[in-house]
Amino acid sequence: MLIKRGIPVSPGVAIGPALVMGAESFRIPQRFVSIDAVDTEIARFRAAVESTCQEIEVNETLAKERLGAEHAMIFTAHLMMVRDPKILAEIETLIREKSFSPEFAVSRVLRQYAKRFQNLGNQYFAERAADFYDLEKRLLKQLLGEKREELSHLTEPVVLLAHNLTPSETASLSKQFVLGFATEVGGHTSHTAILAGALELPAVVGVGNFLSDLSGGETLIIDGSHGTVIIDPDEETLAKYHDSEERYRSTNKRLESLRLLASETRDGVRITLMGNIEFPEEAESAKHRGAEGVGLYRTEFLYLQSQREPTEEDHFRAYREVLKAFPTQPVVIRTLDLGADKMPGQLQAEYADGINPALSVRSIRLSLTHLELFKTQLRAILRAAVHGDLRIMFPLVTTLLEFRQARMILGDVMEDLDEQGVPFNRDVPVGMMVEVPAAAILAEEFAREVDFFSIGTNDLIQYTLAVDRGDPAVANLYRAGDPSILRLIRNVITAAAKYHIPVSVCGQMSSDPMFVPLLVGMGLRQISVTPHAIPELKEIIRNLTLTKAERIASRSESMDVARDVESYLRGELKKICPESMD
Amino acid sequence: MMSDSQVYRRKVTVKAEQGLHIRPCTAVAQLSMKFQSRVRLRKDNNPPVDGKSILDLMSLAAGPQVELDLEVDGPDAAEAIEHLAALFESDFVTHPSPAAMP
Repeated sequence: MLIKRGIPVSPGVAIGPALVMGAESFRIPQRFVSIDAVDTEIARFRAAVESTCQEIEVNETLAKERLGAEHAMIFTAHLMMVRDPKILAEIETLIREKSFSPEFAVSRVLRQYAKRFQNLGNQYFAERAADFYDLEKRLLKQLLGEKREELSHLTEPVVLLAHNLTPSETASLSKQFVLGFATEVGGHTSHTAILAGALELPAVVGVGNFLSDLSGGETLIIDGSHGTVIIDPDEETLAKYHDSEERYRSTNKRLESLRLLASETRDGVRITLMGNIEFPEEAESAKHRGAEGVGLYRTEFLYLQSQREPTEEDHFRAYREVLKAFPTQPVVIRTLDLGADKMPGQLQAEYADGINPALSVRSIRLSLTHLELFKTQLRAILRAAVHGDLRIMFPLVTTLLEFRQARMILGDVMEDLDEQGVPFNRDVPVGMMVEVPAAAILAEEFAREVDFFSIGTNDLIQYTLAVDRGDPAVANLYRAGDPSILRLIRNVITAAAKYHIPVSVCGQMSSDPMFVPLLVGMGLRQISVTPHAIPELKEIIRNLTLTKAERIASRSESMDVARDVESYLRGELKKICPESMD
Repeated sequence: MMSDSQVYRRKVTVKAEQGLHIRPCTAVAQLSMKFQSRVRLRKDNNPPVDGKSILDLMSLAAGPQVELDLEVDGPDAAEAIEHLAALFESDFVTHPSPAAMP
């Protein structure tokens, strides 16, 4: 039995056989194609060669700039290898004459070359075999559309282990076969972690190197509530965890029953609980868990899903779908909140230069410098807003000028729509995320101009405490209970109250049960959280009185270190909800 | 009709310390592709390989000091063979000096 510790990001227990996902392993889905598909398959192969060349050319340019022409030479060589008429002809012949699938043909031909070089007997040439394997991988990646095939070919439930999972891989996990997952890297608030919560898959990230100890098939326990990964558990441990798996399920049932009850304190104060969602498909499940609207609809997935920029129709369709689940309740759409480094295509190349992405061109800054991109999204929001209570929220606003500029562009878009006679809703409320310390400090100035605030605690904590939320080396310094954070939140709530605008909290801080009494006590009446946390928070709210919450808040705000605040809050939570899970 | 069937032949020696490895191969293939003529290289009595195919060149596995037969034929063969021979002479500096022009 071997126990590993990591960061718990999505609660629950998963027990099952391990499936280790290689960092770069591809499984060829199909070896042969039908004769009449040959032309299509050859076209697909040529397209893959073209994109592979483009990818290598980007590397070549980068290497030239950063390391000099000498180092770029290897990419020049790779380019020539991919374009080598011999290789191309050999692969195409296999497809045409033997009906090989392009994947199979590519792999076959390049591996033959690799072997030939390995057998040349000369050390230097033997090492060149690696270049062929590299090309094989690149081509397969293009052909398979960056999918790791194993994932879509699961036939029995497994516990998934990987060095890293990209958000899109996480999003595509089938709940039928993936019981839970653990990754070597990653932090609390990485997108992968957020998605695991949304999918309700028990997950532990940031475990450190452990995959090399495994070959797959071992029995594994993932405890997503405590951040433990147990490899080859003994009988006793296994029994204990089967038990807690059961307990977790029954607690969930109990919480489920809260769905139709009001979210209000014992002394009758209404607290609106809304859901944070990422995909339109999550809206329905958020509603099912009792969400009274969507407090944060992240739209990044529209941009990350494919290699091209989403069209106005892509946006529009997604927004309409969310409104189907919430036809009358508020749905707050956050405009693009990506770093340029994560954008597909052209933009990525433009900015992929290794500067600190958290402090570079991202979110509203990206939107304000790429107006076409921004306007496309705004048009779709304004049009979809005819069908429900949509609201627009700008992320990462740092200065008032930025907000005014964004609002002005919104005005331009409205004018365009007017001229074109396209129906839209001109009264869409326009708010902002408060997630940069500068904005939290100037909350009063902002409150005069914006329609609502939403405090994004994830970034606010990252920027205030100077801690990269994805870096395991400093993850322990990332503390939502830090007095500086409480002070900033207090400032924002006070400013909002003074100018009578709504304020909510939509970061992960608010889905941590222990912070709920504090936030309510500080005056917050709207909370938006990952949907699966809603029932639990509702239970806490229903056990709370406002007087008690206010006492907890003022006591917490008098403390001077995060540790004291958090241990105090934990203690209070136990008193409020003794049966609340640990 | 002008006769361009003349085949130009030259013996070249691989001077690079590592032999005809990936970088020299890249340079040779790149240069060969600039000409219309067919470029072929042969080691000992093996079948000749295509000078425009980096893979063929690599599969020569020509070590340092190995002598190769360079054979060029086509409309610009005379020019091509000078440039290619100069490339081998120069130890594969990518741009052969104009002095090598005939």
